[in-house]
Amino acid sequence: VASAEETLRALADVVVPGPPDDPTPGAAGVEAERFISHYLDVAMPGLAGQVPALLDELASVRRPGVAFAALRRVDREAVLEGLADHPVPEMRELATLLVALSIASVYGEWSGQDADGAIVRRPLGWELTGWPGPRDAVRSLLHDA
Amino acid sequence: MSTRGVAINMPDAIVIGCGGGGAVVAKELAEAGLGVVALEAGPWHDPARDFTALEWDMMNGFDSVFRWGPADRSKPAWPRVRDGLALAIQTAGVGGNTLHYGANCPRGYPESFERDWPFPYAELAPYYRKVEETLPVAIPDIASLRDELFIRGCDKMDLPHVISSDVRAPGWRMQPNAILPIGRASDATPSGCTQCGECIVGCRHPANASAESAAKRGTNVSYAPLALATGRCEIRTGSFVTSILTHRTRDGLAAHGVRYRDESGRVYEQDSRVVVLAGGAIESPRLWLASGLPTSPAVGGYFTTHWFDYVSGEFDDEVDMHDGQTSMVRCDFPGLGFIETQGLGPLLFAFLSFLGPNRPGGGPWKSRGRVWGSALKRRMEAYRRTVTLVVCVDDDALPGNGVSLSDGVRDVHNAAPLIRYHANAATEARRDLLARKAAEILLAAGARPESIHRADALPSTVHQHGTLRMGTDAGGSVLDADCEAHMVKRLFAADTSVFSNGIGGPNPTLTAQALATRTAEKIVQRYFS
Repeated sequence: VASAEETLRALADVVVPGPPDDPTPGAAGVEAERFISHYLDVAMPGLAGQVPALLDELASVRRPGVAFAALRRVDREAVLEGLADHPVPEMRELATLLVALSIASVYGEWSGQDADGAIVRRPLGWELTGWPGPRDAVRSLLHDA
Repeated sequence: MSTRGVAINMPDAIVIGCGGGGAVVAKELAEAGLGVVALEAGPWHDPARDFTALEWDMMNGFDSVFRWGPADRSKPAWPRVRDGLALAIQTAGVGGNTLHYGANCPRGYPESFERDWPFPYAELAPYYRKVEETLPVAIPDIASLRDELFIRGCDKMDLPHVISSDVRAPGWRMQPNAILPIGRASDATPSGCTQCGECIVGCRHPANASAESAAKRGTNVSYAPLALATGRCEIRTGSFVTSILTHRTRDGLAAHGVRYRDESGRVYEQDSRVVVLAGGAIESPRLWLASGLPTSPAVGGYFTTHWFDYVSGEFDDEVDMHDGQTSMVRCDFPGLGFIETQGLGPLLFAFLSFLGPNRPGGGPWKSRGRVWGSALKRRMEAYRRTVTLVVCVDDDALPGNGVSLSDGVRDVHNAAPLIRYHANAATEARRDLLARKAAEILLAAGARPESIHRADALPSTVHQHGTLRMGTDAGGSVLDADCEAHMVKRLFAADTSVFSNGIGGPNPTLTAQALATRTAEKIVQRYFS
């Protein structure tokens, strides 16, 4: 049995993996589950509670008795792909939402913000991509540069 | 609700929505001497205070600055129901979608007017010119590295450099952008465009800009202030129109006002002599239907989106796609659509490139559609070496695509719109051809062949048009050639919903603004001269 937080972290880790499966930090390292859980409930109140149960149910179809968070990476990938290619449109939409939130937890600004939304450190995604962040000007592309 | 401008208690015209088209028709009508009230669902943002340039904060669909929802971001967004679309984009606030557009202002392709429109392309020319001068539109004279690579690719493919703004044959050109000329590095605070790369997450430069000196010319800093400056226009924000009021006359149904709701839930009625719909190609037909106005197969139908795709490639050296105006060069392909460069921050780059369906690679693109896991991380590590091109297709206007009312989903105003879009085979074939051309341009520019990726993006409403289309035939259109409803007198529209087709693929805002300028003239001629 895994907690809802562990389940959502294991989900985000499929989309943006970190050590030991990938050499650079990923979603689990920024506690992506907090971001994902918050926005699932914004998308639909109560959804953050329902998604872990759904993922566990899909996991047990693949490996009876095994929670999603306890699945090997390859099986977690297969579960998420099954959701993304599901014949029911609402299930496909849910998969897109889960993947988008996982990506946003890393490549958006969230991991660099304090509770008030102020940027207090460079977010992980800016480090991973080399994006400089917001700038007033790109002086090399101005006249007289 | 808050208001700006002089109080207009008995307006000649009500404009519903103060976005890309609404602000234009409001300014033109007020300048012609009419008293105008513009009702805007969202707030009037202060770019210096409200725009953070943070991608999630500005652009997410739930609680961002640019979402479709009330100004109080702790309250839920207004729901939309989608069929065949990954994303429905609408923006509440004075400026509407021009708050986050790239400000690319090409004219439509003349050949598209010859196909479906009730008047010839040439008739729109003076109105195009007026909008281009008013915004104003300028052509950037410094290209970023991303744009230089694109030009190199086009040159190698023998695509000619086109100078004319009336495009009838394939070729590349610098973008006509509604962005002030590029500033000088020698100035401590450059005036004009600072090339910061933030066009689509909300322009807030240069520092301490007035409306006149704000770099990107969304209608929040151009037409809306000009409308107020006439002294004959009032803009009421936080005002969501829920019904168009009509009465029977000897000539049939006629509009005489609207019912609207402020953010506290208080309901108002406002009378006027004409009503102009300008809520965008999703909201305008939704309001039409929610008002119980007469329907026909064309009401809400013939929706086009240019069904965007994104093709990217990695280069050996850093390109920094995010430097400079979001797009400064384009290649037009009349009959197919167009391709342009696109500077994206990392989050939008990831969303637009790698959230697609599960598709095998092959052909000119070595990967296609969905990318997750370590493959995604390697792509993102190459972000600074990547160039992304947008493909916009000339999609067929089909009667079955469009907006109806949802049976089960409501927001605080009305039944939510159900937005349907499924492309036909001809559209898909044109899109495939354009995506191949985009890959060829990247390869010719020197992108690594093994890095070419096609997003195969699901449809979205980044561009949206056609749900109240113009035409001469009342069976196949909603508006006449002057943008007045066939079935409801004194009801006009002045947004992209009026398009008879997708204008061949080009970015739609300038055409909507030219049409809004023309429609204002027609309104005055019909009812106020």
